[in-house]
Amino acid sequence: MRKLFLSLLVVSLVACAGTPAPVVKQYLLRSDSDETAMYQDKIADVTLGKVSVAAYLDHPSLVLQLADGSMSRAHHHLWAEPLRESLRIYMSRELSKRSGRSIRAKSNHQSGRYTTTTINIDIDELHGDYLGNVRLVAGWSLVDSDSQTILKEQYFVSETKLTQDGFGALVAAEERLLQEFSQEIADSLPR
Amino acid sequence: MSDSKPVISQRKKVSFAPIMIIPFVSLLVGVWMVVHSKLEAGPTIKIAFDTANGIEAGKTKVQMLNVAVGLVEDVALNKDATGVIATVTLDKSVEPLLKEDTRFWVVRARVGTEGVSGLGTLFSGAYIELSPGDGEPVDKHRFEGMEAAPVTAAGTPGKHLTLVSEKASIGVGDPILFQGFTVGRVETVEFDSVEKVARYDIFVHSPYDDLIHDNTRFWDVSGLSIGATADGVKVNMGALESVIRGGASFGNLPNMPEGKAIESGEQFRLYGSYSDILARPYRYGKYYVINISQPLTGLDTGAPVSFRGIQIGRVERILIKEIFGSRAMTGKESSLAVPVLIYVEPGRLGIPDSRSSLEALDEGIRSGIGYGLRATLKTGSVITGKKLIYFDYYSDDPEAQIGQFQQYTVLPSLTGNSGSIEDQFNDLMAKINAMPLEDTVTSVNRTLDSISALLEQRETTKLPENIGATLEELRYVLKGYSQDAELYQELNSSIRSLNSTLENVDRLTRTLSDQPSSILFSTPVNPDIVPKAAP
Repeated sequence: MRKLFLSLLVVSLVACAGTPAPVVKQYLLRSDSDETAMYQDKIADVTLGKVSVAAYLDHPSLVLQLADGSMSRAHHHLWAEPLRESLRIYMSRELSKRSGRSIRAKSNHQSGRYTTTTINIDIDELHGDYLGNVRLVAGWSLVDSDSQTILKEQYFVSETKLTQDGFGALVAAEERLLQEFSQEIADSLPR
Repeated sequence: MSDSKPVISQRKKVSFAPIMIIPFVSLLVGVWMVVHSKLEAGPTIKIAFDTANGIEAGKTKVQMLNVAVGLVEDVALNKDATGVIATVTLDKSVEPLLKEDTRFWVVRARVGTEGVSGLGTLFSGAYIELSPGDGEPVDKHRFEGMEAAPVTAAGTPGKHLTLVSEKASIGVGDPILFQGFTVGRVETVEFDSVEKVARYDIFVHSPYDDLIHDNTRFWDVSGLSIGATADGVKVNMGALESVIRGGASFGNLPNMPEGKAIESGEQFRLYGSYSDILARPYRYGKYYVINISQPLTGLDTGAPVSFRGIQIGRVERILIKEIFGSRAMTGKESSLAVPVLIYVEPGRLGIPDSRSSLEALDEGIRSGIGYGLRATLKTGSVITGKKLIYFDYYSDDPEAQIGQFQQYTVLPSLTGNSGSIEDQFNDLMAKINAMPLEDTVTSVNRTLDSISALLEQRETTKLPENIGATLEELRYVLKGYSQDAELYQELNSSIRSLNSTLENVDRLTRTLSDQPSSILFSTPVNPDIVPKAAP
């Protein structure tokens, strides 16, 4: 009996050891803009304020929408850092690049008293689907920092198609949509 | 045959001369004339006049409707030489017209405000007009003559009324108007020296007298009134005759019932104008006196008199003249209560505006005094400071008696603080005045000197430097927690790691919940669905 138990344990351990370890890939969302570029401040000083993501995006997994409408989270393809954090950095750099001015993400500790306009962003949808489409739905607003009045408020909806298979292509497509989104905001900033 | 001689007797002859019939006839005619004259002669009466102006014995006639009905036989002074007595013989035909109210007056040429009359007498001479009365026939031989023609002929259908006003504004013969139409005349005017009012006897012709009821109001329409209002200048004037001569008009108040029908002899008040009636629409009221020991500043004539907020009358005037005129100044008038005359009207309470209501109100006030009804002086408006007389029940007030001031009833009043804001403010100001402000200011100055000395001390001057150093240290400490500080960065990184760990724990918890055996055995993981490129 004792031999039998030991034999089962050994077999189990051998079996576990024999299972190949899954390969997990992580993707970092970063802008390729030059971080050291010196941007000329315009008349109005603009700051990136709140950047929020939908609850289903507040997760390390990349998301894919299936044919039945369900959302599939990848287990082996993850964001390297929470999307809410990386989006703040990404959008800040893209906006600075596209507007030609330094737009920093305002932290919770900044008073913002030197800021005249604040950009707030809400990402509602950012995922691919089974047909190879990638979709970005986001709302954004410009808020006067002194009076806290909304100067402008719009929704951005855009889709693009995957040119290649794989999650790397999905991340690249999502970056293209975010760049397009940044361009629209930059074009609307007060001069 | 006998030879007797016949006796011849000769009868004595009575001689009657025919001429003797003449005196006989004359006697008969004389007797007839005396008897006839006695039978046909009218009554002889005596008429008293103020003056014999225009009256001549044997010439002045007595006329009635321009028909001579008598002749003045004699004119003589009366016993006390204050007038004349005219002895007049009237025709027998007018004897039935001599009644109690038969009137005589001298018609002579007159020029006055009422017009020109009697011009015909400039040539024919004055005469005495007879106006028959409609009363009972009397065996009367003395009459009081009138100096002018009566306004209303005796027997004219209508009503005789009396108007009372505080000042004489209309005269004899002035018209009584209703909506501009002359419906009567003022007959007499007299001044009542006791009540100090003017009384007018007026006559309103029938059928216009039916327009007058218990609630009818009379007002003076003499002349014209000009008033400036926010709407502009407003001119009110009556008929042209009333503008020139004066007169009175009557009518009913809007929204007030007519009241009962009246009889001759009724008395009405003559108001100064129609606006006076609107301001004082009630007919019956009674004067009372309230003794006030407080300052009467703000208590004006016409100020309201109210009972628990319901106006029951008005302040008529302050009887300051009466009280100082009735006594000698003693120098102790500081405790003197000043009588205030008020006028209370029962109609204001919604009860009928009648004499019986007035009596009931008076009785109610008198009985209420026993239950604590008192008058007080209160402030009606804090902004304007206007005051009023306020009646209410004060059960804790000791017994008080109803008094008398001249002809007015004096109602008891409460003295002392009326509780008004103005009085409270005055009390506050009195307390402030009583405060030792000079001592307080001296003490404050002394304290300020001590503070100055304290501030000038070396230790005190160093205090700001110490505070500054402390703040600098505090700033240095807080700098370590700023966004760019290393401590802040470490804290932020730790929080992120903690969040990541918690997410992993969450994921592990969900895996164990789905597959508890996964803690020992690896669970088969389906490969991720790889996104495909669009076709």
